[in-house]
Amino acid sequence: MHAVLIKELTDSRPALLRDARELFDLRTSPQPLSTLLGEMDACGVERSVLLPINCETSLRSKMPSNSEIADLVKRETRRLIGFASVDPNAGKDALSDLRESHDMFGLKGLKLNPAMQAFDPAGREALDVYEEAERLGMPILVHTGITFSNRFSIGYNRPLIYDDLARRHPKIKFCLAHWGWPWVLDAVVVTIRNPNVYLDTAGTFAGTPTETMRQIISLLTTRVIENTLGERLIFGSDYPRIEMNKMFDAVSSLPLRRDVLDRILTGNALAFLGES
Amino acid sequence: MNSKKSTELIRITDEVRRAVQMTGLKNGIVNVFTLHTTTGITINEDDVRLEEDIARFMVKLVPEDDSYAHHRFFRKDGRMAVNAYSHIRASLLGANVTMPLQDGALVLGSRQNIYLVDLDGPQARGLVVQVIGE
Repeated sequence: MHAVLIKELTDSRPALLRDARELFDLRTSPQPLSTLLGEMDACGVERSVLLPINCETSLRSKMPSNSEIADLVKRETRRLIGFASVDPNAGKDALSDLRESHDMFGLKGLKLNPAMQAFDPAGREALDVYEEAERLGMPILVHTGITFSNRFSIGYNRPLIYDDLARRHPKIKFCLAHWGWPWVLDAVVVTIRNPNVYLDTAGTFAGTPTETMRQIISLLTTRVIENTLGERLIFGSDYPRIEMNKMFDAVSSLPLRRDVLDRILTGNALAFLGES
Repeated sequence: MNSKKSTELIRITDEVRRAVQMTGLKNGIVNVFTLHTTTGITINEDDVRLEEDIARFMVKLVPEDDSYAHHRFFRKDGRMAVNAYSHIRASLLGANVTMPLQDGALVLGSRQNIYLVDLDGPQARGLVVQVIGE
């Protein structure tokens, strides 16, 4: 979930609200952290991952910063997990930022969005960041698929980019966000081929969350999800671009075997985080 | 006000009384207005089971699983619009209620309670209470 419109942060740093509206193109009202926790309670979600995006080079903005993520996690340590974001364009500074986020702030993973952050996900700078994340034991969640704003080129969001990366670096754990929509089949083939690649359900693109899930089921069939993706598909919401309880209702209603649904909602995330 | 469910009736009579008392006005009319398009304001009997009935009936009356024109990428918000049913339910309830103020007290029947009805919760919601009088 993106931590850009949490009221505690936008109240303390109004520029974050401006950036969320003008750069992240998210114009709903900020909600207090209690709304997020209320949505988690409403659908029985125990823990959530808070995501920043460091767009220092591309947009001169951190949405939010790693220290702001850490401050939010401190408020609800049992329920929130913080990820870091660094700017691969910053070279060695990106590596020291990542070490700081891990060692000082206790952040557990890395979030990257190559299109928004304007870096080549297969480039040398990005590889250095991936390798540092692997050394620190931080799994990497990468944005794949559509970005609604046409401010950014979406060539860097293509899921197939991660096939070669995952093959060449089998110890680095990637999660392809948003099913890679609309390149769902590309994201699925990369996930099937590479045991170090996961896929998440975050976001709704073809209508409501239920309509989006129906579309994806019609593309993949329940058999493929149950028998092939069942151990590497992770529930994600994309809050606040969609309410967590609505995504949860859609995913938990998928016509899948109970044990597979349990893994999607719990076990696979723990495996990605290295907790199982 | 903070709702905790996707559809929830929240009793706000005490909060409205406190807001009215802060004005110092004794006689006139009180208007309670919601600032949101997926909430409604209504007055009804303060019975928990009836609150459940109203919430359930709103869900049944305007189903979530229908083909709504509103459901598309909504550039104004920067996200998909997915809650036409919440907006429609809110329109059925209305955005405000008005009641008399007499001798500094709300004029309400013995069974009447003012409710904020959240139709797209959980969320933090804002209300306006305006008093016209003397």
